[in-house]
Amino acid sequence: MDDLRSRLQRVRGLGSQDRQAGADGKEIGGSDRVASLRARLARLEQGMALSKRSDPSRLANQRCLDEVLRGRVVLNGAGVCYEVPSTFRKSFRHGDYCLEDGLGLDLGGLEALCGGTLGQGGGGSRGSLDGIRAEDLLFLDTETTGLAMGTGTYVFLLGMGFFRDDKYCLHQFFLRDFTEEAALLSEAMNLIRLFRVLVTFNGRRFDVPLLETRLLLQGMTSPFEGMIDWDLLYPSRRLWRGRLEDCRLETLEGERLGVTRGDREVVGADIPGIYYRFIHSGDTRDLDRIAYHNAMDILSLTTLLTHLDRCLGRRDPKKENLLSLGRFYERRGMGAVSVECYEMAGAGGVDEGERNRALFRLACRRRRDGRVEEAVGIWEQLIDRGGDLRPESCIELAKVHEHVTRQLDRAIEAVRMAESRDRPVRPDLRIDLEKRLKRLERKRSRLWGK
Amino acid sequence: MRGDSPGHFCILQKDGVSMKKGDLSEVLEALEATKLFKTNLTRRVELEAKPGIYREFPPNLTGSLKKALLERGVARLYAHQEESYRRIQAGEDIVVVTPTASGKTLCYNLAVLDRLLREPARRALYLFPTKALSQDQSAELQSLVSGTGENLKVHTYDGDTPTGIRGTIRKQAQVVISNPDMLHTGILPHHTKWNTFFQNIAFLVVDEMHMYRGVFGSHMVNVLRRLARVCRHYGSYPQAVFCSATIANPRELAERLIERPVTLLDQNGAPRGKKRLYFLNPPVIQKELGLRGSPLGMVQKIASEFLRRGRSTIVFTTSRLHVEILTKYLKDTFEKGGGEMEEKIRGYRGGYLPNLRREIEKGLRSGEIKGVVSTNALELGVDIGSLEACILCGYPGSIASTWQQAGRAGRRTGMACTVLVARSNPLDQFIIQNPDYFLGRSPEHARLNPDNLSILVSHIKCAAFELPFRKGERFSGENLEEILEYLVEKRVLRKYGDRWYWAEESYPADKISLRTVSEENFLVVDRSSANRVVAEVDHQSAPLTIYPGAIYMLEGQQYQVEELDYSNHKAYVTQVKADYYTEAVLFTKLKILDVFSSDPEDVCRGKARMHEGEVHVVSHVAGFKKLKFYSSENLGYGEISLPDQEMHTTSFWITLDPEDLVEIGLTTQDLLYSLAGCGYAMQHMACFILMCEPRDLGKAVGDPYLKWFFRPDSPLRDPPPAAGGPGPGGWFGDGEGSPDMEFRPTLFLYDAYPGGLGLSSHLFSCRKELLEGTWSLIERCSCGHGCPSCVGPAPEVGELTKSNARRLLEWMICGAGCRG
Repeated sequence: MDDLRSRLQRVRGLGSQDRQAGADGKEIGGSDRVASLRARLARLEQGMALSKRSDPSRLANQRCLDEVLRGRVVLNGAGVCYEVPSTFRKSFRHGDYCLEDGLGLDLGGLEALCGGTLGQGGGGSRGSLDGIRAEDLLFLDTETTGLAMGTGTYVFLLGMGFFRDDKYCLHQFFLRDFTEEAALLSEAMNLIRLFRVLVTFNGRRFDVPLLETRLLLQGMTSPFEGMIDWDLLYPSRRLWRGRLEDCRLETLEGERLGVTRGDREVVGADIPGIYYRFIHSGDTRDLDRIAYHNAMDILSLTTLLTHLDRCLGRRDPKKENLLSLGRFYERRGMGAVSVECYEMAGAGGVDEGERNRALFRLACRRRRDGRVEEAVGIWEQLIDRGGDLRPESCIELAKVHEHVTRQLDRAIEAVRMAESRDRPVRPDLRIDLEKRLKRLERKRSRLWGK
Repeated sequence: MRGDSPGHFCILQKDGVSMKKGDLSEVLEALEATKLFKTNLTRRVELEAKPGIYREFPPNLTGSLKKALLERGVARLYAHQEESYRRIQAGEDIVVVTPTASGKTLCYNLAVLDRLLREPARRALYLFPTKALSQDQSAELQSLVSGTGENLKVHTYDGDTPTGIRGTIRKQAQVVISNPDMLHTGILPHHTKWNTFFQNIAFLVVDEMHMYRGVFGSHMVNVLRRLARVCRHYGSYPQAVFCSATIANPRELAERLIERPVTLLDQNGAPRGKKRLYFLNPPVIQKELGLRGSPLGMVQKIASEFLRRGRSTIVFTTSRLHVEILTKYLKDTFEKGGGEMEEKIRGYRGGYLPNLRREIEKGLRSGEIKGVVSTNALELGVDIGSLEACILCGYPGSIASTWQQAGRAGRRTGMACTVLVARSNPLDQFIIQNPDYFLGRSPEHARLNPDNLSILVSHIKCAAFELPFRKGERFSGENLEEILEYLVEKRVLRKYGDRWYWAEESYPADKISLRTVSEENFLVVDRSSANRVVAEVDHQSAPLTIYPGAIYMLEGQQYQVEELDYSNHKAYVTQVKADYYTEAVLFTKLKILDVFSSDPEDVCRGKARMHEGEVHVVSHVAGFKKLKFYSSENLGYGEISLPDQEMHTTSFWITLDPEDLVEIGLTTQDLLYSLAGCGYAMQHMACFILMCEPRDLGKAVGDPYLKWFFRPDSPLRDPPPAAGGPGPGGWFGDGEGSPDMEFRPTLFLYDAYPGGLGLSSHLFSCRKELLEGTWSLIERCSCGHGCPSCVGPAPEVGELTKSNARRLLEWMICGAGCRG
């Protein structure tokens, strides 16, 4: 037993404390040991980048939190938390749209474009879209203490926007200190449970997993399981990738939603620092700017959805999305709508390459729908124009003449036309054309031979 | 006879018939008769075959597992495998010490898989020191699992795991195989994503436990502390199973890693075939300087002979460069012969892609590949079949490693042989002169210091990020609350009520490497290539390697350092082609801050006063030498002006009193040189005992209170010595000396890491062994007056240094007028 005890002592490193002998060999007492620990910690600073802390801010001139954020304290079963509520008239204009433009959207269409399901349970979405109205949508965005997504990253501002009773409400929950987290989450989650569709920007990969981590750490269940998930990052990419500098919400907002942010806006990278400054020293400076930033994000999220709806309905005067939409609808099996998109794009107002591609797809669909003459007409047009879909058009034309109109000569002519211009043909297409030509000529000679 | 070309060297008598068949022992006899062996062999050891000790399968072993074993040809277990199974089943934490090729994976796999098959909800975490090793072992385990026919999910989780499947692994994998680095940055800080795993974790398996020593080991203890903490949060207390190679203190190491008692199992039940060991020392080619020939030539000749006779051979080298050189030599040797042997020889090292490594391993198992030259990458890990001969080109650095490498030859039955060819450095020479160390109990102690403050505080930060600290918690033996309060002051943590929360923007685990102590690395930026970062250098090595004017070498390319931005931790370099290399001249001064232990005179009957304690080290890089390649001719000197580096660490030192000096009877100058010579030899001896690298220890000769210090080879400054003090010849003082300053020459051996790693304190406990071993190293060196293998090259340290150093040691060990 003694052996075990001494081994345990040794193992727990208690032996090392015995060695804290002073120069005269006597054991150092408790407080002396602490003092020497302190001294050792102080010496560590050099190598540990601990001394590079930012200057403590001036506490004079500081306003109290209520003045800055204009929120109120909320009490619930889990404790106390802080909420900043605001309301907007539905006629409020945010960039090119009014908030009320977000009522009466084609939610079914949007679901096709944006949809997904949250939660690792994977038990299917929480009900279908039956009977869903604008009031069932929740627009959510968070501000966090970092992008790292580990268990030490906190959500300190949780913003939620929604339509209710003819108005647009915005609730922002603010974490005044870490002990209020349970109450904050409890309050917020109760609100979330009232909605059926969660609208976010990159929420699927960031905001939701982060909130779920916080919930787990607090031992709370997730309200997100099975919620319908409209993460607008994905449809945005589908429609605008390559057209804009990037697909960040800020960029989309400025380039397509007509929104500009004023001086109150704060740079994203500064946000964690501002919050931690508040946490460590009570300095409330710039917290209102973070709240502004968050509010703008949510409003832009709301009008972005409206804009996506407009694009989907082909009502966007900028016709840049028509090709992407056409393909989207084709994949969804909605041929008629895709044709509309291609027709509109083919009519003009888009750049040459896109127009050609739209016409090409239109021709393919025409052929599918049995309107062969029209299809042939379009392909011939594309061949004449000599754009970069020329070889493909030749191939399609040849196919039609071989199998549908059964005019082998015209088929062979079509194949030959692809090679006649100087433009180099892609290797895989060239192989296809060669094979096709050989086969057609064999076929023809067999026919003549008969 | 094949191969009469110049590249071919035949050392055996040939009768024109190629002797492909035949017993290995016949080959060995023939080799022993050659001139090469006769002149250079220092020892030949024969180890008898050892039968295995077998046990039947445990009666309660799951049926499907038994079936899987039988299918692999395993009908019985070795004694240690069966005992491991029983003890794990009984709920004990164990450490199993087994040599290579003794079926150690079954020691843990049996019990773990058995439990998981009965309770599929349970989880196990396997940790291997490196990613490569864990990936190798995963394949091994998968094949065992598939033999059971059950659906048990085993997967690696590390930097190479595709993101798409990570979520599935977290939720469903029953055995997760990973490494400490991934646990540290990728798993623990995201533990909520692993909640199912941590709620059900029943086993923690740590293989190659002996690797967790020094810096790496100190970090590992802390990572395991964090793991235990996270498991507790989810209500789990997993059992621990360790596997280790043979070291002197396996139980102690295991108990320090897991911080609770551990049962030791060290009776190896695996059979061993007959083994022969040969120790060879290349001849001295320059007596004055004591320089020996390179081992490469000798290794090439011996390897060629084995291969020519169709004996599968593995050659281990100590550097990647040597792998490439030897592979080339061997391929050249066989190329002219026109046979297929050339393709059957491969090189192998860690940098190769996994596919290539798999291919070579497979080739070794099937016999397609007959010869492989490798770094220690092949020391551990996957089965490569049974090779017959193993040649070590240079001592691998530890006895444990030597046995691991030797174990690659002759796995279970049949004769095998190992040949160790020494290099000329002191450690190799010591080993070759004292091969008994291999045969008795291991003298190697794994040392670590997890409470090194710098390391500890880094991990406390990580732990706080993972879960807030609560009042009353313990983390290490230090006063946790004090450290937490300190971090609050530094605005890293914030305290609310009785909890401390992480309160900083950064992600702490990212900045902490488990292989170094200090945090801030320097970046080496190549200006000649669009400011690309080509390398990272740790804080301590920076003043020695990337000072302005230095030639920095990386993968064969030379760069010259143009500018060193010290405060921003960046060095700007350009590519150059120079015919010289640079070496910094480092002055080190020490001051004793605190004495932990002293040796009045009980261990050594001699007069050396030995102590260990805390010291303040000041390192000053004064300049650098430009040395021509190959000739090492001194081309010139450059000045450097960099801030002094200071650190606090632990040290072992030997002090001589003024009265003693009269007894010793050396002039002051000779005394200093001989003390430095002792230090040179002692540092290598210390590495031997501590199982560490020379760079882990610093050495210095000087005054214990910073007044002066000594460096034998520095031609730099000659400040006026105090009257009555030491003479000129490379000493440096502050000029603070007063006429009646005491002359107390002291030799320091200190931990080269701030805060110390427990290395020098162990030296103090082994001081007798240290002194005696050092004496032996110097005594048995066959050079005339000093060489790089004992006290340093004679032209640098003086002709008399070797004998003086030996005398000094004798005096230290047993007083005046006696012989060791």
